Amino acid sequence: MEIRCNQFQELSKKALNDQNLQKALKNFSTLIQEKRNLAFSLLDDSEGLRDQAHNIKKETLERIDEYLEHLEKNVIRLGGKVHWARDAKKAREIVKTIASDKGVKTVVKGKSMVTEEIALNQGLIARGIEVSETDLGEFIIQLAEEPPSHLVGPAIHKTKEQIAELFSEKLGVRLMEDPQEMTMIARNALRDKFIQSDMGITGVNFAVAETGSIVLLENEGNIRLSTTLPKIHVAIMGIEKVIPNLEDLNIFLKLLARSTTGQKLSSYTSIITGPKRDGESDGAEEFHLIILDNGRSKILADEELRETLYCIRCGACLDFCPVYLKVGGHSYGWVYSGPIGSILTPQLINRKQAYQLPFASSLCGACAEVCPVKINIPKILLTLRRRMIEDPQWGKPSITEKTVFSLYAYIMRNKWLYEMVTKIARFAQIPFIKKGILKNLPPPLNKWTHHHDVAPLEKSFRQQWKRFSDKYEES
Amino acid sequence: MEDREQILSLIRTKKVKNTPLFKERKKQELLLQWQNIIDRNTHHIDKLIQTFKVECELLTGKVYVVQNRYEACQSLSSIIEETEAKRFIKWNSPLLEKLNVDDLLESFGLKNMLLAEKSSTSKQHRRDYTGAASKAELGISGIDYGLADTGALVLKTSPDRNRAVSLLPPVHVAIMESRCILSSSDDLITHLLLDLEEKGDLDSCLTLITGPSVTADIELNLVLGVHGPKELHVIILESN
Repeated sequence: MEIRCNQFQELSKKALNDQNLQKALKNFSTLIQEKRNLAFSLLDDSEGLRDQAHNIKKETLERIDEYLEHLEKNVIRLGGKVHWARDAKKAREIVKTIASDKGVKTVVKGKSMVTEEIALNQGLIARGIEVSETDLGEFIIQLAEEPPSHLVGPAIHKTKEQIAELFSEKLGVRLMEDPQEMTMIARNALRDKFIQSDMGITGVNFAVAETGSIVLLENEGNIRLSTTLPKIHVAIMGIEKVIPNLEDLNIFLKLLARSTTGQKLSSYTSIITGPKRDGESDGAEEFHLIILDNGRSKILADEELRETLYCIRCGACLDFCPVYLKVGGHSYGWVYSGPIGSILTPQLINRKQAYQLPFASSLCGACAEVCPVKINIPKILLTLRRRMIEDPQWGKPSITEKTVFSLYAYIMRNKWLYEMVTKIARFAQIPFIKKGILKNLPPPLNKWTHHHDVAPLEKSFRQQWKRFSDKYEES
Repeated sequence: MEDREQILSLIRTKKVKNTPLFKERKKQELLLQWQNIIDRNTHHIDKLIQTFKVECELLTGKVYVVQNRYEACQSLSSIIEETEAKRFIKWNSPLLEKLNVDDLLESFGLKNMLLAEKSSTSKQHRRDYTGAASKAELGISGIDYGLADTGALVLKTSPDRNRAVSLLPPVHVAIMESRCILSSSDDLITHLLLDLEEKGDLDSCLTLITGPSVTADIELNLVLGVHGPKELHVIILESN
């Protein structure tokens, strides 16, 4: 998909003016926050579980090479095939090669962010292969030719009227209002695709090294269908998805569904261990696992940013982020949105293009508070901001900004200078105060007031204190 | 191969670690642990059944706790009548045989959609198989375990236990004995670790199911049966 991260400001302005989107985000967040909080309140020792999950990720990444080799060995022993892809292009090539070797004409897909990341659909369609997204939300946005707007609810930005029109236009059905009815239209259209397709493609929630299993969570059943009916199953995982063993899986299963939708468990949790065995009547005969780097090894090597790879893609940081809940997913300009998008995107794609994202946060810390693996997102945001300001390799260091802040720091350190400057500023600000707010300051300060409502300087604390104590003494 | 070597060299950890990659487990200890779980669960069986029922019904599942074969068949009959099912697919499991489910289905005149279909690798056959299974209105499984704290069903795949039964038909009926109700996924993990010790591998597919297939993708409206079953019925036969 086209990367539009450098248009964050334009896109978010558009989103803020989109009444449907604002309503959808409001409804969505009210419901999901309540459900998530309830689910966690009913969980014994949720803090302890989150700490454990954090440590499992930490320790696994410290020996990720060994765990991946172990996973590979087990998948091969079970009769599966393992492919390694250094980047998106290679991953697409691998899928295309499997498809053309086996004469695959139609593919069904389960919802997977990593396939969005590598733009797999476009690659397959260009080869003349028909690709059907089968998660209802993904099905809707595929018809609308739009990217997902949320990790978990890809079509939350669409109203049912918009979906009804879309179905009528693209599927040739009459306009209908009932979500139930529309869902059944999708069920019937997709059931035929499942039966006819030769290949099912899914992501991976967890890959268990010790058993060679991949684990997939879902509510609709489309992922089970994608792994059960077609002859070939291709699963794609980022290197960070590997976990050591079943005990670890148990910890994550307690956290993931609760964080994602507030459920205790998803409707379906599938632990798939290799292709179908002899005598079994369904399940994929061929199992391919693609292990993708695509910039992750770089994140792994960076101690300050490594925690980014702990993410299990639950979407909770989006659901609680005051910025995401106003600007929506599309404003972030690429696959990953919300707080996790703001730290992941600049590390995966051209950094300068995603320059604005780490700054699109109030640093309120809600994301870190709900993250099931306790990623310190605000700290990583600050690290990225610092690098983007200081390091030409990361961003666009601005001499003006640097000068202004050095000057500010200098003034703050000198009492007499501070007092003099604030005294002058208190007079100088008068023409710029509009309705109690400082607006349109002259350059270079306009860069600040353009995006922020700044309260005018009041009398200093000392002055106010003096006046207060004088009054007190008088009385 | 080139990509493999490159990625591994990029992520290769320099530090030599002497600790083992995986936890060492002793089969004897696992067996003991499992025995303790069974003892504990047997002791609390009524509470476990109750918790399972509550959790499963919160997710719109219907739970029937029955004492004997006769009552089990009564429950199944009422489901068949309610759903007006004409075609079914089912597992072959000792419990279903014990309950004589086949005879009951026959007496209702239901057609087994997979009787003629045997496993084969040809493409056309695969489509015939799934096409036929897809026409069934009822899927009947004799599940391995239930998890009380989440109301989850645990289904393991094997030649007699396909994946389609709990997935393709709009109605899924799961039958289990009450002694198969575990308290939580913690119990299940112990069982799976024992499986791993004994068989060397997990089954090709293990599925945990809570409630029916569900979506909320259109304006957060809950719609059941989007891809899998719309209805879930669980018949629990109380163990003697």
